[in-house]
Amino acid sequence: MNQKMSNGKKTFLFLSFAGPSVLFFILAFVFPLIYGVYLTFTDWNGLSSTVNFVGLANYKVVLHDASFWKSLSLTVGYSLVSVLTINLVAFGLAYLLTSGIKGQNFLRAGFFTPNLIGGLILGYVWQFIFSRVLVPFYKFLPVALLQKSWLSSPHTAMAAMIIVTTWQYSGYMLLIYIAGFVGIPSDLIEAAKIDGANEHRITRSIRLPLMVPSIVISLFISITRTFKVYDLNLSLTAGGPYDSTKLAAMHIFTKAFEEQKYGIGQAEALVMFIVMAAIALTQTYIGKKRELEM
Amino acid sequence: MKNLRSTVLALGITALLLVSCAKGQTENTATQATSTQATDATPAATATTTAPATATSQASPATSNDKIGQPFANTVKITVMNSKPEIEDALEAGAKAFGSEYNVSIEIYETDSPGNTLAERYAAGDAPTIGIMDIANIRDLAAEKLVDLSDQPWADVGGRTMGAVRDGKIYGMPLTVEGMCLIYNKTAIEKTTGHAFDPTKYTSLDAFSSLLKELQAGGMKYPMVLNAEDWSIGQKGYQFVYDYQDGTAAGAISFLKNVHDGKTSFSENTVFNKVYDAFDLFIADNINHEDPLAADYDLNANYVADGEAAFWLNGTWAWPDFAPYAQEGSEYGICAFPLNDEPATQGKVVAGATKFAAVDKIDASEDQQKAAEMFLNWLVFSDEGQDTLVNKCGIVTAFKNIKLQPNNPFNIGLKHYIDEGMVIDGATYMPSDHRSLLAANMQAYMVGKMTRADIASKLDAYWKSHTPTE
Repeated sequence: MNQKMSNGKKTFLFLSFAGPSVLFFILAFVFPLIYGVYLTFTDWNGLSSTVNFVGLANYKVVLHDASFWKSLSLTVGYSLVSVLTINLVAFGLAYLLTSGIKGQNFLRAGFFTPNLIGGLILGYVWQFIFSRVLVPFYKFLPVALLQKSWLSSPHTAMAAMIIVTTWQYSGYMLLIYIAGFVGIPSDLIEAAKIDGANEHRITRSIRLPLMVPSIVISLFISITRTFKVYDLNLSLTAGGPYDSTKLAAMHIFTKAFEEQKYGIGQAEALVMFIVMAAIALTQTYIGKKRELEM
Repeated sequence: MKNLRSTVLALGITALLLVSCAKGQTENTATQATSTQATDATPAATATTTAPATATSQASPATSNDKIGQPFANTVKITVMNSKPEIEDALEAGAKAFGSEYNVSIEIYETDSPGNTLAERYAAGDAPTIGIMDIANIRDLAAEKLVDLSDQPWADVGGRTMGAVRDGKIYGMPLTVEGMCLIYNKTAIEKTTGHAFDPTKYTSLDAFSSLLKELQAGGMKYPMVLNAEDWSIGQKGYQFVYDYQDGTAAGAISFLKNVHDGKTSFSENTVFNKVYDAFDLFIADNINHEDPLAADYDLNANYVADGEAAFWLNGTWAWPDFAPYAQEGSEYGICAFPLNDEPATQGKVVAGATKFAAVDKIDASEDQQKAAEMFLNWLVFSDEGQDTLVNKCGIVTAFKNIKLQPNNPFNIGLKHYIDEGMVIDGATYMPSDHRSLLAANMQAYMVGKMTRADIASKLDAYWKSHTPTE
């Protein structure tokens, strides 16, 4: 029983289990990434068969592309607010839906549904709501917010983006938080109750610390999803009014495909990737340190 | 609970389906225009209108076969990339008819962004044998990847004048001719003003403005309709300025080059100011004036179709979206952008080929190239091909040998302008970042966030750092 496996056998075993996934990972992720980085040093237009090496020229253009930095900062702002609202709403709902209220299974499914609808369709549905459904309500409820379509002025259009993003993702995060809540051992909570702790105290000292893994993963997912948003941006606001909601992914898409500056677009995508990875990984690192071992 | 959940899911799926159906509706109903509406429509142009030619084809089978070629012994398979979704079904039917006669199997696929699809397909070594694409795509591919079509029979019947030509060689067959113009509801205008409407009397901005006032006095408070989309209002805001310089592409290009060299500027250009005088009037009388950027394309079509408004700044391509709302018994047509004191261009409609068919030479075999060329000639020279183009696809063609009349009021109007020589060149020389860098400014102008001087300086700055793509 205590036979030691030979190195060859170990490698064989490893390769037979992990090999296919590693191979596909390399083919689908590593190669495209390397090729993408290579393209940032070229002047390829996406079509031509002549590709010239231009060194760091594309990065210089990126540095001076004011509209890219504007769209990136817009994206950071949009992500920041969306991540907060998504997670607060999801956490709150998960708390309610694990407290044993009536019809909680039905409600869980209901809140998750928006996540099943693709961002593109969700965008069109909400575009209709903001432009055609809310505005007629002004007659009955004359508040300035309903006078015009939310999508026709910069600030409200951005708010609309955040609302729809929250609507889309909080149902998804909700599932993760529910799993977290359900995983908290009830004996700990009972013990705390016997010791005289109130609900608030239990949440702060027991639930929250034990929920850190769920919070870390939810934050990671919501940061990366909101950073890369394109479909919703396209269908809800199309970057408008007058480019005020043109987020980074849309800017990059336009640059690479419409303006046919593939190298520059790719370089901008890489910059966006680095910014996103830095934020998401820092968050995960800090969050992991707070995780408790049970 | 389970039942409830399944009901909710079922409802959700139904809602999803409804949303996607609503989106597809405009395309499905594209061909619903009744022939009555088409024949009712009065082509605009000069007061002396000529009777339309009868709808019979002139090409005889004997001559067409010479120009098309002989059927293949073994089936040849070719692919077509179609970037004009509204003609998909008609093109499929045409391809089938051609295929069974000449032993060619044609697979057609749709795309709404030909540039991306071409990039993907060429990268994958699977380029479409025939690509229906924009002028910009032809420029990118031209000599390197496309077959020189200069020796094709269709070149001599209008293909050369309107085709995509690079360095003297034709790389794209002009497939559709479209016009940028004002779309009007003749019935509504006549009902409101109480007298007959002849668009040729309102080609100056002064006359047009007085007509709008007349319409307002008659109870039509906001007779104009403007779109909000940046590709629509954004591009038109500039293209009319270029197009109406002297009515020729060469004239526009020389003006833009002068701007580039700092010899002139937009703010001191009279056409620029005249176009913006018209825009100011349109914006003031826009039916969406309360919230111009919340305008909805379909609703805009509906306003004009219903007669709630009289004029829609758009192009002949809008018919498929307009048709579902067109009223039985209402007459629609197109007319020119109004300008004061521009005798050379006033009253003329901007027209040009907007989609081109090109043949690949990289991935296609010789037989495939031959089959592709035959299919293009079949469209131009055979009765069935002409029927496919004009009647089924509902487009205006560039080819003089095709005598079939268009079948919708916008295209009937455009054909009339073309026949009368009342057209000016459409702009095709903008660099590929023209829309992404400039179009949003026009939206800002519509809501008063930018002034005419701002627009002029943005245009100056753009053209100082760009040159027209010839």
